[in-house]
Amino acid sequence: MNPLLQVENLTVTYQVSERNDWPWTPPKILTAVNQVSLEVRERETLGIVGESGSGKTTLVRAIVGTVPISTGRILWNGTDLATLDLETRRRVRKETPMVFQDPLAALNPRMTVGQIIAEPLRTHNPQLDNSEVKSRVRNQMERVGLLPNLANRYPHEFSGGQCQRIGIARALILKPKLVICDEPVAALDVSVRAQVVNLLQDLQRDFGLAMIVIAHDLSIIKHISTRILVMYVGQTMEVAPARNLVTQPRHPYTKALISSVPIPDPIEEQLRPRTILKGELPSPLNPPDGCVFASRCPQARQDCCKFRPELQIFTNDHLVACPYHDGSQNYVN
Amino acid sequence: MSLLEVRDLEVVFKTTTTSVHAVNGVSFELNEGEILSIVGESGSGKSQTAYATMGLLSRNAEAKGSVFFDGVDLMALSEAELVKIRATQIAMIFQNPMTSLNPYMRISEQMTEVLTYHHNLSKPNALKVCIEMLEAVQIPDSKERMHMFPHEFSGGMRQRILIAMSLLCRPRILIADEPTTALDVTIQAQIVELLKKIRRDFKTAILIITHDLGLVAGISDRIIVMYGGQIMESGPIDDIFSAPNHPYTVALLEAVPRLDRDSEKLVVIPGDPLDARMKWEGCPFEPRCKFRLPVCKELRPMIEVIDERTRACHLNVEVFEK
Repeated sequence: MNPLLQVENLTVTYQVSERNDWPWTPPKILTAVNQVSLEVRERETLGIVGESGSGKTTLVRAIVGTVPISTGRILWNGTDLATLDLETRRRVRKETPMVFQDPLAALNPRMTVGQIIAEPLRTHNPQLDNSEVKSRVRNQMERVGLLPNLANRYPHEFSGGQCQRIGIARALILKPKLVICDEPVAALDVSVRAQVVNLLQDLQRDFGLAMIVIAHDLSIIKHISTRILVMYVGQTMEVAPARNLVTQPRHPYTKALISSVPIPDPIEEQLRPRTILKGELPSPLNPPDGCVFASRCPQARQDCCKFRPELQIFTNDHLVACPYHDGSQNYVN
Repeated sequence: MSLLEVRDLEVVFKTTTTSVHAVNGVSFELNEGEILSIVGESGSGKSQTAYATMGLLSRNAEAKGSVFFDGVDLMALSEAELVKIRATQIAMIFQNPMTSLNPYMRISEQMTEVLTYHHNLSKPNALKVCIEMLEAVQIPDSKERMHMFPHEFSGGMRQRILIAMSLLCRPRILIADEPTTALDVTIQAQIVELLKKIRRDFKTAILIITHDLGLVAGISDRIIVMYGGQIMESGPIDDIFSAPNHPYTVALLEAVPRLDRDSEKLVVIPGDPLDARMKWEGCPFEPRCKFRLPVCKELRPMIEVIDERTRACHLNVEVFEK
């Protein structure tokens, strides 16, 4: 079966000029996403995890089409999005709505909640009459756990968790096939996070949705995803089914990431071994020649700085961008 | 006697239309060389508790109660006396390392200020002390980097600089308000190690304000769980996590997915965090509590002390001992 969405060797670059540059100085090239490939199958959740600056948000923005891509292809149901004309592209776009990180900032403060949720309907299905739109909005509000009689209120009258429900209702009203959630719970309080995570999972099951979920919190990603993609400075480090990635990580970065995630259990915290990474992320303006992780990698060898490692197959579904991932090759340098 | 003793602290904000009760009768102690964490969601009053302790509340706030530091009531001191204590005895670091440094001043100027002003050190001597302190918080090439501006450092580095700055006068208490929230996980782990090292090397007592249960588990000796401006439960870290005695703590621990366990579905705490504009007669967690009794709505539970732990709940402890 064809995957719903396929991304092949996607690269996104930004041009950055410094403040002191002369107008004729050529801008520097910042490679935010560097040859990333991924696929999303029907009804599955792909989790993308990475630190700030890893390019995860740019990647999904390129997928929904708000950031131009430099090289690579994005295939939706087998058709290349770049070859489509604007009108068809628009029709495809309604299949991939987004849920944003800051729930209040994502809603127009001058529109009522009812208008906000109805907006995609009015844009893409202008033939619908008012009463039909209203009843669909009401159903949708009920579905995400909001009282339909709140439709005439404004976003500021709602709490953060409720605003995120509104954002989810808006994303799902056109019955899309794939929903992209960019840090859907990061801005929410701990006690409300579970509500939104459960809601997303329920909706996914009921509507047969596929999802891409971005988060920096590996515990949330592991809970919600079928497969996880780990990004670091614009590149894929490891892709694996969620459980395998957490229980048998192969890439040294994934290992370090897992050991940095705090576990809410003091006894467990004292017992488990910790790898604390030295230093910080390299600048994407000036990425190192070889492996991007080599500067912080506890197992780095000399030739790590020379060649960029390709994604290798560890098992069928588990890819790693580290030539020494199995630890068996004892190179002496 | 403990180093810091907060008794019946209340903080009320007056606005033109209403008054907001941010903190409602909070009492706790911080002992010498101890790491104590206050955990709560936004609006639980955890930050205001810390600000009130430091005398840093905003102008429309009114604080009642008492804060004893080394036997002196900080609430009774004048602003000038407080400044002295803040500069030499109690230091604070804030959540956002991006906005806590003055963007127009070099790190060297910002750091030496406190030493030349409060300790009468000469500029070269002050610089020397600062470089040593930057080395202690593991900033490489600190001698050269001293003279750089804040924007030339990354977030993790800036948080290290702020920690170094707060330690310059060898404070006996360090208050850290969400010290890792703005940082990435791998950097977060570095800062946690650094805070532990500071406690070891300088014997500083640290009060951490956070919403992150994972952070608390990895670093603290004792924990205070706050909700709606009140302490729900407090005690030694191992006891609270292994046998929580309060419905809120139980619910909070169940609602967080854990990396080391598989969970089918998260247990949800229904409803939204409470509105601080309302003054609650009973327990603030009552509307969301699944164990609530009729009495919970009318009567605020008394604080019950069992060994080293305290709890504020009408339910019997036995309910949780299974």
